[in-house]
Amino acid sequence: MQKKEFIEKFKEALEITKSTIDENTPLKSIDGFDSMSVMAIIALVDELFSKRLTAKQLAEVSNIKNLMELIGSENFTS
Amino acid sequence: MDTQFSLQGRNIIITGASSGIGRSIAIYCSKAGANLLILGRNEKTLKETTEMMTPVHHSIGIIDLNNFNSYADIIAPFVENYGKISGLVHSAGIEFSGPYNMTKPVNFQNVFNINAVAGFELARVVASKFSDSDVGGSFIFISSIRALFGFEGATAYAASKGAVLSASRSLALELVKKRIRVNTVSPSIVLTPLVEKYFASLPEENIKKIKEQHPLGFGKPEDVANACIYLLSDASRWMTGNNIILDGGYSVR
Repeated sequence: MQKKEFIEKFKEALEITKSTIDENTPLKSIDGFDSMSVMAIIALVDELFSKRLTAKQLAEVSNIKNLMELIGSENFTS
Repeated sequence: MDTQFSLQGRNIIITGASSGIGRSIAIYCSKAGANLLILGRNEKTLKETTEMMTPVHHSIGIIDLNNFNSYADIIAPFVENYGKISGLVHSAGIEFSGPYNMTKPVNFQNVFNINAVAGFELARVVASKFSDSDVGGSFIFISSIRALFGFEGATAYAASKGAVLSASRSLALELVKKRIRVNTVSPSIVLTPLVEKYFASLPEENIKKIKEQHPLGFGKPEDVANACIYLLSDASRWMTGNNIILDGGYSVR
């Protein structure tokens, strides 16, 4: 999957409509980021990559770039 | 156990007996003297359950609950060996956690198929083919506190458990003529592999908050098993179409 496409799906999952984000945007700086956002990311990654992340793993993730590394860089193309 | 709570000689089917609540129900029913057909996907974990059970008469059945047409063939050999079925506990369940914008038709279908439809179909097959109105029976569906109280991220799961709760009332009325009682048990958080999976999707502070909402703490599988023994036995002969809430005080406030 293209990184750009993943970022779009990420925005959709977290219902980010008003702000622009990129792979370096700190997750905690996203407006309204909360425990439901964590649940949304887990559901998204499960749906797209059949990979079940935990909230504990996500607590270590600071931005989308880190998230893609956690999912596995081999799943992404520039 | 010669009491009102005895299940001596009763033939009972339990789904989801590979782990968690279903496993505990199987163990406690075996202690109460029942002949059991325990159903699950995994032969190895079902065998582990039988090792924990009182060594009475029991069989295991490997089942994919999504394969609705397979139920009668899996139950028939048990009935040939032990006689008609007088108890059914549908404890198998799956969960889906996710915000509503991520909850798609397939997520609803998956949880509904296992949590609700599989139980309804088993009840239909058992009541129409394998029950005896001279003996009567007791069917139990494991619902959830989520059917009664809202919780973010649990829409699909809650809906499936709500279906179980409401369907059991109508089913109870229809099955009265076969002398089969139908009830539900609605537990809050019981420490099982399913809950561990759910907790893994929650930040630590949320888990702490949920724990604080349970004055008696989280439940153990045997807390649900004990309620099932009551519902399966003659001790509950006057109870049908009803629901037992087991929640450690969650709903008190």
